[in-house]
Amino acid sequence: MYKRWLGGISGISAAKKIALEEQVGGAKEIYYMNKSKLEKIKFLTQNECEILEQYQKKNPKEEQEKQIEKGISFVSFRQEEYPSRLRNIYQAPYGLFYRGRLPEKDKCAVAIVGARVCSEYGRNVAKQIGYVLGKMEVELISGMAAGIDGAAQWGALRAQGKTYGILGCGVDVCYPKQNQDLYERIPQSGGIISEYCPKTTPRPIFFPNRNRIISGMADIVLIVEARKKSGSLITADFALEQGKEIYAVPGRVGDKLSEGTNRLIQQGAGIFTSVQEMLQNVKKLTVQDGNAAKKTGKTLEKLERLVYSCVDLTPRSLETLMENTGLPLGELITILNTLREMGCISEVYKNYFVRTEIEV
Amino acid sequence: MYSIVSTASVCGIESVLVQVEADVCDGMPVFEMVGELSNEVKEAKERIRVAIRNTGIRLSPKRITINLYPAELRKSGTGFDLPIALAVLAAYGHISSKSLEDIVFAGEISLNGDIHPIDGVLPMTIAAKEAGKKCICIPKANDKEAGMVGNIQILPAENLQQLIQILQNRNNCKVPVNYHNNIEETESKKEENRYDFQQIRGQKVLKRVCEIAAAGRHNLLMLGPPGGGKTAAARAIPGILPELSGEEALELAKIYSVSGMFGKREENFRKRPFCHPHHTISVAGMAGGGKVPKPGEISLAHNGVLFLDEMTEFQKAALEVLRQPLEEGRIHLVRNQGTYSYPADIMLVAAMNPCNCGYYPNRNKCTCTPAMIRRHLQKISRPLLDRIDLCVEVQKPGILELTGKGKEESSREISMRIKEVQRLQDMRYEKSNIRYNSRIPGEQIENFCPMEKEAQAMLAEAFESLELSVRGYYKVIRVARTIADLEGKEKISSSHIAESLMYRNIDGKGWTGSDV
Repeated sequence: MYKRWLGGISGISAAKKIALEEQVGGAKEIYYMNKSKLEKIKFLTQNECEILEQYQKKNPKEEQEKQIEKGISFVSFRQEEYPSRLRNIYQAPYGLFYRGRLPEKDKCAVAIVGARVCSEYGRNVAKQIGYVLGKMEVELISGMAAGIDGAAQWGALRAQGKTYGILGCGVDVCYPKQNQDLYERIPQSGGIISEYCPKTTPRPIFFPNRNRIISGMADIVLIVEARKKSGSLITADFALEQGKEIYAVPGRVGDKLSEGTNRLIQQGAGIFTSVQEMLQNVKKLTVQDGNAAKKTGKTLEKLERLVYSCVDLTPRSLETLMENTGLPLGELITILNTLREMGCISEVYKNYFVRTEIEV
Repeated sequence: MYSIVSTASVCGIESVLVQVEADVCDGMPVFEMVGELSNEVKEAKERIRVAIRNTGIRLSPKRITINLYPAELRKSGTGFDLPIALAVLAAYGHISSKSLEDIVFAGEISLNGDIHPIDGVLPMTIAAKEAGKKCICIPKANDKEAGMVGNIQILPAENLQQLIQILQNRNNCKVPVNYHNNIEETESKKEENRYDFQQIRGQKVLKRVCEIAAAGRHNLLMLGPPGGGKTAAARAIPGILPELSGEEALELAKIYSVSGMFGKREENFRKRPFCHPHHTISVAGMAGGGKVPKPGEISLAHNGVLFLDEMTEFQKAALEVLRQPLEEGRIHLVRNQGTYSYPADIMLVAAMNPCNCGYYPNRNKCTCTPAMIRRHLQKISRPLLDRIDLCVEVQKPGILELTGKGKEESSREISMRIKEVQRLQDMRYEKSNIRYNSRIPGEQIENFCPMEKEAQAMLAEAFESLELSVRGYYKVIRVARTIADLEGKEKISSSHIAESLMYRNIDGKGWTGSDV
């Protein structure tokens, strides 16, 4: 109860909370400390004392009941359930609020992060990797953001895999709004996790902090698409600091959205080629073969094969396809429609087509 | 003495006959005018008094009373100068009342007696003809307009003095001018369109969609980056539409006549109008505005193309007024004087960028966030989008196409095919009151759009997988009807449905795919 209260305090760093608890003996003791005693603690500044005093006026019991009613659980640093991977990182969070469950300790976890404003190619790759990981029962950690994060998590959900969304706001706040569906689906199998007190609204400063948890919880961090200056690169920096393996999906030279990932590779990150290869050093795998996830090959007719070969991983417009295939418009459209119905391609944008299957 | 002269007043795009009575009697020398007159009509007395004196006629000081009836109708416009002047002259006895019989007069008089052109001569002439008058006297500059009607004598007047002379001799000589129906004359006149599809290189998909849209009179939305050729294509569309029929041309000319823009139609009555208002247009400008509303852009584009370039930049209200006319083909404007109903059967062609910067989905150039794109697209309301049948993505042409030597199809060739489709449509809808595929009402779809079994199956599948709305479902069939017509097929096959589905409107998830 008091731990939850302490965990919900904003304005005092996680390290100080841990140290404080150690020195005083427990969260309950902190709650009942008076002002003069607080001021005697050396590492607390005047400001932090005042914050604590403010929070002491709150009723921890009432708060706890409210949170439990909403299905929000809490785990603190000293508790057994606290994710072990996270315990060892620099600036580990004092506690985690979560809905659903926490990642399992003995299972491999991969974090997939990337640009919010991403290309269709990136989205597809993320979704497909998420799917394969889900099938291999590898847990997927991500930020539930728009773009790459969300796509990867959808992929995992589609494969009935477990995925965890780490938020930069309270766990009862859905951010971004358009991911409401995802926000509701994730806790059914995985969990929504945050170090911030419930009801906290997202603020820009929270997100870099959140990123250290994403990388901290995972064994491997995979960056799918990132611009030159990107939040995903912050996650990569954390991962490096925390000693995690880093992989990046390579991109074409000149693609703005791959500048960040290519730079990472240049700096020594692993090149992502397939899920199998990425996971080759991981011992904790339960299902070895991701091939089980691959769809059964479909047989296409000659013209269908021709059209399919012209549809790329990046969106191609109807006009371009017409030029490339040399087919008359009517025929091309009929074939595209068949391919779409078979699920081989999808129309990602008005009259733009992309392949849906990528082998990862 | 008493005299009476016929004239006409314009109400909306129709006209009603008005009688001008004048009475001259002994008494204080005043000029009194009654009969629900607007300011410009009241001012007429000064113009008339001076104009009559300047033609060399001296009016002795008497009490002049003018009445315009029906008195409950508000009279506005400057066309009353001429009938009032003639009524006064007749009451004084300068012209015989008999010579004014059976003629409707309208015209504005300047101080030196010249007769200036007025708006709305065409509906006036029609009203005069319908009322059984033999002749209409209008300003010389308006004679072509009156000439469109036919079967009524036209007396073009240049100035008051000349007109008085003609009227005085009316019994001796025949009325001098009688124009033929000059719509017929211009039938063969074919003006070379400045914008031709031949000039647009590549863009096969866009051209194909324009052709379908023009053939079935479907509303069209073009999405694409700036500089892709959207505007050029839109401007070329009127060139491939079939010419207006005589009836349509007359209706349109009426609208232009009351707006004082008849001159624009004068060169070629059969040409389809093309209106492209700037996006700063107001609601009144779009729908029609004023106490007695002048027709707005949607009416000026009647039976033609209304092109909204940069559709997202229009004021929301100015776009939303399009909803009713797009359904009904008319716009009803209510003022305290009454309700005015103007024809507004338009083919809407709209162009817009897919996002603020215009380059989405090219993610190398576009950095708009999904939220920004959504906000951009939300500027167009769903109900309005629902009224658009065809939607096409326009890509910037590559350098190979721009410099390519291949010959592009000209508008003339395309218009031949469209004419053929129009013939099929005319045959099919002979017994109903619609003319185009896009106007087939939902309950008659089955009647007019027989489908092959496979086509039906494909449509059923698409209805589920693409989450079509009911309205969207009907739209797909209507467009497929036109595509089948272009091939000359009676039954709609699955390839027609497939193509139609490709151009379906951005509804549901199809709007921007998975990103937004």
